[in-house]
Amino acid sequence: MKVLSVDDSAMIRKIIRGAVEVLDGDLLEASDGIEALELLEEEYRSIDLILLDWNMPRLDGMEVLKKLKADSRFRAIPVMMVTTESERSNIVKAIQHGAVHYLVKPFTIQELVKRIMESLGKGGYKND
Amino acid sequence: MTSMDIEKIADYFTDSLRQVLRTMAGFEVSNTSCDQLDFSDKESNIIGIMVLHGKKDAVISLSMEYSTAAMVIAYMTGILPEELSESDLFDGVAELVNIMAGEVKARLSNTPYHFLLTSPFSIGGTSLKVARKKNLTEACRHLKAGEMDITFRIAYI
Amino acid sequence: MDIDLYQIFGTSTKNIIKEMLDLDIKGMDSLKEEPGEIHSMGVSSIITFAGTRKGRLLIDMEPGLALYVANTLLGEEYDNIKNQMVLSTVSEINNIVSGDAVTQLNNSYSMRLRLAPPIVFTGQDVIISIPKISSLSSWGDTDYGRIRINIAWEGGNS
Repeated sequence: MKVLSVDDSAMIRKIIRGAVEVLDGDLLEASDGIEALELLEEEYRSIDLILLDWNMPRLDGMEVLKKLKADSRFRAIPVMMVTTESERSNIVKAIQHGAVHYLVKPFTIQELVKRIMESLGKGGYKND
Repeated sequence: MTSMDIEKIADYFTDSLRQVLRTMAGFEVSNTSCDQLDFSDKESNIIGIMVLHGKKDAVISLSMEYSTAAMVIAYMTGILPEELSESDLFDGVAELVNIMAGEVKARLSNTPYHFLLTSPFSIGGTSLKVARKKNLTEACRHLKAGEMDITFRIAYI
Repeated sequence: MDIDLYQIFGTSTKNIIKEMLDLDIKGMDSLKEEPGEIHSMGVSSIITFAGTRKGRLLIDMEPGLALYVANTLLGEEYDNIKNQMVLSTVSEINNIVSGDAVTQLNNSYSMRLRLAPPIVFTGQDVIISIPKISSLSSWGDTDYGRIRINIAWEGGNS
């Protein structure tokens, strides 16, 4: 399986890499929304899950989520928000716009692994 | 803003930081008050800062030695401290501030102290001196675990 | 509008420095994208503002210029950039420049921006790392040292 982590924090991407490796998966990384969309143009067929931060430079996570769900090529890829935005209204907004899960930082590595597995279950694997 | 209010808000932030460190790094830190000297400008190695925009604006910061930052980030990422670059430390300390503030933002969302987050930033260097306006309403806490000492400060303007 | 959001800070910096110190800034005409880490030239001050958008201005001065600014404005002879009065003066310059630029933006674009107080710092080999926001810088020269301004708006540079 292949996961795309979109987060401007290199530390968070490293933590996510650790979790994805626990699941024997591969990780692609983007440090903002624009970079993520550029990467998806090339890689969308192989990506099983997108982990998306909210507050990022250039293009924030909510805008990315809207663009993903508006594009027929990307729409089916499950998206899990991984963010510090913990206000209920924001969680509701993300789910309404198509996120399958919402993980608030801080999280344990076990929680992250579990949520990745659950999100993959909802979206279905493209690769074994 | 009374001194009691700011002390309570400082406790929210330090509770949040303790939770972040417990959850993501797996260690407990003790929380102690600062003495008078801690309120003056001190030399420090790496400082994560965020400005909070609210009815009253505030500045929060986390100061620590490079070695402490390396240890904290290492525990959080599972990467050995010596394998972390200076950039990793700057990024990690800024993200710590971001996560801590995000949690408190939600907690204060329906209070007069509700605030908007801004982009956190880190400053690093030797003989670092940071100054802010005088006569601010300030609070300060030390978070300690073994040799590690992280100083949290909040100042309302 | 978008380029105005950046250029206005260069214009305000030049005007305020000229008005308060009778000092010309040469250059500061173009903007260049900065990487995530900025190496301070001596004394740096950051101020943030929030309204319909959030942004910040960093003013960075070489030590000679920071001392000139403080000595001229305060009529003293400071020789150490770590002196509180020197730092406060650089911080105040940032406050005045940002106040001027933000007022113009508010008048032109109804951005309802409000300034937070500046933070100022100095040290050896100081690096400022702002991971969550991309920014543009502009450099200028004075007879007393270089000055850089770095402007960032959340939501991007486009």
